[in-house]
Amino acid sequence: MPVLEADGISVRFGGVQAVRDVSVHVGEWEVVGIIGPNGAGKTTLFNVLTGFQRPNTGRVRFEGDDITGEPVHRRAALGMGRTFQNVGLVKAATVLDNLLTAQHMAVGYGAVAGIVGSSLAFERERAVRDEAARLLELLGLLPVADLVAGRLPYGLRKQVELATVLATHPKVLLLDEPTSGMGPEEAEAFGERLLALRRELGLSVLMIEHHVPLVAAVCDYVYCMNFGELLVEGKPDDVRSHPEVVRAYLGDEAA
Amino acid sequence: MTPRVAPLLALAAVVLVLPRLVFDSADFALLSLAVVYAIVGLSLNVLIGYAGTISLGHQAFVGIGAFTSAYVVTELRQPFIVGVLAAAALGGAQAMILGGLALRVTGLYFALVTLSYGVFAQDTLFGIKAITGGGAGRAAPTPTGDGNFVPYYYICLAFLGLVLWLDWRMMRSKTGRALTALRQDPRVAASLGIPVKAYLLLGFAVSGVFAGIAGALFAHGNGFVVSNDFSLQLGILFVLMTVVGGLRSRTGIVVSAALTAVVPLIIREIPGLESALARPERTVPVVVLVAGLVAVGVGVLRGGRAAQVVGVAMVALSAAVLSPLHVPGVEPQLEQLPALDPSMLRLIVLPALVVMTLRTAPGGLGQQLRPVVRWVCGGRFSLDAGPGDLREVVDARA
Amino acid sequence: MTAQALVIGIITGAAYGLVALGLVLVYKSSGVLNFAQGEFGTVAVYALWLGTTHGIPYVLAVLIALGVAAVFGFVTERVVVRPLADAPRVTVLVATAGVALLAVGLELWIGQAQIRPIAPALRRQDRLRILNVYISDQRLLIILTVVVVALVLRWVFTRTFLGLAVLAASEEPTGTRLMGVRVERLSSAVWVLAALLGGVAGVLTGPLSGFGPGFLTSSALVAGFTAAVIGGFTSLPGAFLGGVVVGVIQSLATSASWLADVPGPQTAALFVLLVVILLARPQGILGRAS
Repeated sequence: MPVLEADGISVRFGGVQAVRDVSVHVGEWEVVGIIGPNGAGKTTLFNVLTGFQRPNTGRVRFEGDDITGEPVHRRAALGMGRTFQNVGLVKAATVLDNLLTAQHMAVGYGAVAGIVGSSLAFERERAVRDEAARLLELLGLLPVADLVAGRLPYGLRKQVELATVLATHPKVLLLDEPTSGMGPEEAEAFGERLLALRRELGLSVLMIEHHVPLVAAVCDYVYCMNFGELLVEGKPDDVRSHPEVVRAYLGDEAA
Repeated sequence: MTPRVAPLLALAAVVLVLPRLVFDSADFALLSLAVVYAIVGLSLNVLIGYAGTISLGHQAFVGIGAFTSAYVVTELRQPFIVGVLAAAALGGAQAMILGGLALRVTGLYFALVTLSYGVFAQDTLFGIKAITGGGAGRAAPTPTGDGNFVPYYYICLAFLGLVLWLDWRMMRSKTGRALTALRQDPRVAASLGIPVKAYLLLGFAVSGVFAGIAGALFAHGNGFVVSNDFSLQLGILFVLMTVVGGLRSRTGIVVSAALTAVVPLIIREIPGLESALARPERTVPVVVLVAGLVAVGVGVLRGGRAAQVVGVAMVALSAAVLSPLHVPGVEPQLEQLPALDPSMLRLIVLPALVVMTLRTAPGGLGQQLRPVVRWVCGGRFSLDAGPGDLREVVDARA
Repeated sequence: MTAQALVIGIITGAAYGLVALGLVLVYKSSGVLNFAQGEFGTVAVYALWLGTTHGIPYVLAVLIALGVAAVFGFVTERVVVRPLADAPRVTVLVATAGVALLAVGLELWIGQAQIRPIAPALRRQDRLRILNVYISDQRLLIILTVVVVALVLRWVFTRTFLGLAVLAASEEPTGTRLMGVRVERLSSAVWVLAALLGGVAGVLTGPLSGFGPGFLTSSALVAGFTAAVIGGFTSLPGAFLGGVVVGVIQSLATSASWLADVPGPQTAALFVLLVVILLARPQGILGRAS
C-alpha cells in the first residue's frame, strides 16, 4: 500500500492551469523524486499534498485514508513532514526553541495545563528538552543550539530545518529542493545522510530536486513535470534519458 | 541560572513597603490604577507582542470586565472575587468572538475592525441600561471598604502576580512557542502540526481574560463605572504605553504602564515641577528653547537644513520671550495659556516617547532594562544582552 | 420618512467623504492608515477659533488655520512617517495614533475640556428645503467641496505628472527614484495635501455642532475609515460615495423604529457595516480585487 498517494490533481489560479491531472504515489520506504524546469507546478503539487492548497479536482490519500480536505496541521499529525524552498524556521527563535516548537504534537500536555503551570507540564517539558538535545546531537547541531536560527548561515539553516521536521516524527518526508545552494560534494553527502535516515527511521521520501546526479543516486522512482503536467515517470535512468525530458530541460534543438 | 536574592528582596521592598512610607493612603487609589494599567499592558502584549495582531479597541475589553464585575457584585449580590472571575470569563469570551473575525480579516483591516469595535462598545454595549446603568453608570464598591485603598493596592498586586505567573508559564510552554511560530510564519507553524487558528483564538482568549481581570479591578478601585471611562483615547493610550514598554518584555511593560498611570504623583513629587506647569508662560518658552537646541543639534549632526532653520527660529523666538527686553504683544497672549494638567501632560509625553521608541529603540523600555533583569535572574551583567527578535516592534500580519 | 433620512444621510455623509478622501490619499501613496487624519482637522478648527477670537478676519483666519494643518502634516511626515518608511505598516499606524493623541493633549491644554461654538463660513440656514429637511448653506458648501475635491484629485492621479509619480513611487520606490523623481518630496507633498484636506474638513464641519478636543477623530474618523473601505481604499470618488453610503445607513439606523431600543444606533450600524463588508467583499464595494 502506498504511504502517500495523489490521484488526478488539478489546480487552477484564475486563468492559469498550474497543475493538470497529476497522479503520484510514494510507497513505503521509497525515495521518490520530482524533477522539472522552474514553473512546472512542482511546488504547487507539494502544497496540495501538504494541505496549503485545495485542488480543484483530485484526491490525496495517506496510508489509504482520504485526506484531501484535512488542514495542514492534521496532516502533520498523521505523519507528513515538510521542508520549504526558502527554509521554514521560526527565524527569531533559537535552534533549541525551534526543536521544542517542532515537538508541539508530542509534548503531551494541554495548552491550558501549560499556561497554569501544572506539574505534568514541567515534567513533560524536561522530556521534550532531552529529546531536542538528542536530535541535535544526532545531526551534529549541538554547538549551535543556543544561536538564533535566522542568523545562521544558509546551509546550517537547512540542516536545522531538517532536524525540526524529524522532530515531528514523520512517516513521510516531503523535501522542497533540499540541496539548493549546496555544492556537488555537499549534495552528495546530503544524499548519503538521507539514505541513512531512511534506514534508521523507516522513512519514505518525496523530494523536489534539481540536482540530477543526486536524484539518480538516491531515488527509486522519478516523476518529471512540465507546464503543470506529468511528462514522464519511471526509474531514474530511464527518465533521465527520455527524449521528452531532455527536450523540456534543454529546448527543442537538443532533442 | 539561580536568581540573585538581594535585588529581588529590594524590589519586593520597593513595591510592597516603600509606598507605605512615601505616599498618603489617598494616593493608593492611583497606585492601584498603576497595577491595573500594568495588567492591561500585559494583556495587550499577548495580542500585539505574542500573537502578532493588533487591538485598538482594548478599552472595550477592559470596559466589559469592569461592567461585568460591577453588575455581578451590585445586582447579583455576589462577592468581589466572583465578580473578578465573571469579568475574566466574559472578557475572554468576547475576545474570542473578535478573534474569530481576525481569522477572516487580517492586518490593517483588522486594526480598523478593533477601532470600530472599541467605539461600538462604548456607545452601544455600555449603553445597555439594564446591565451598565446606561449613561448614568453603575456602582462598583471597593471590597476593602469605601476609600480604603491601601489593602486594595495589595489585592491588585496579587492579581498582577497571578497574571505575570500565567504569562511566564505560557511563554515557557508549548502555547508560547506556538504563538511565536504562528506570529513569525503561520505556514511553518502549521506544517509543524500547530493548529494555527485555534492558537490565535487562544491568544485572544488569554488577552481577554487578563483585560477582564484588569477591568474588574479598575471598576472596584474607582467605586463607579461609566461608559465614558472607556474612550478611544484610552485605547490608544494603552497601545502606546505597551509599545513604549517594549513588546514581549514583561518588565518593560509593567514599568511603562505603571509610570503612565502615576504621572500625577511623579509630577507632585518632583520639586518645582507642579508650579512650573501652573505657569506655562514661563515653562513653554523654556521647552521650546530646549527643543530648538535639540533640533539644531540634530540638524547639524545629520546635515538636515530644515531642522536647522526650524531650530534656530525656535531658539530665537523663545529667547526673545524669555529675554528681559519684553516683546510687546506676545507675553500677554502667553499669560492667557491655561495651566498644564498632569493628565494632559500624559497625552503629550507618551506620544513623543512612542515616536522615539519606534524610531530609535524598538525594544522599548524592556530592552533598556534587560541587562538589569538578566543580572537579577542570575546571569552576567552585559549591556548588550537581549535576543534577536527585539527589533521587530509591531509585526502584525499586514 | 425614509426619503427624509436619505437626505440627512447624504448631507452628513459628505463630511465623512471629506475625511475619507484624506485617508485614501495617504493610503494610495504610502500604504499607511493615518490615524491622525481627524486631528489634522481638529487642530485647524482650534487655530480658526484662536484666530477669530483674536480679531483676525474670518477668511484670513481660515487660511491661517489651513496653514497650521499643512505644517502639522509636514512635520508629521518628516518626524514620524519618513523615518519609519521601512517599518511594518502597523508600526506606522501606531505612530500616527500617537500623533493623534499628542494633538488631543495639546487641544485639551489650549481649549480645555469644553465643547465650543464657532461661526460657520456661510450662515444662512433656510435657503434650500428638500422633503422638509432644511439644508444650511454650510452643508451645501461641504457637499460641493467634497465633490470638487474628489474630481480634482482623480484628475491629478490620472492625468498629471505629479499624481502618476506618486502612484509610481508607491508601487516601485526604487525604480521611480532611478527615473529621477525625488520620492521624499512626493511623500511630503502627499502628507501636506492630506493635512490640508483634513483642515478643510475641520474648518467646514467644526461650526456644525461645535468642537472639542479630538472632535473630528471621534465624530468622523471611524466613519471615514468605513467609507474608505466601502470605496475600496484606493478609489477617490469611491471615498465620497462611501461617505454618503455610511451617512445614509447611519441616518436610517437612527430613524428606524425597530432600533429605537438600541443605544448608539449610529455606532452600532457603523461597526456592523464594516464587519459585513470586510467579510463579504474585503476589496470593498468599488475596489477591484488585487
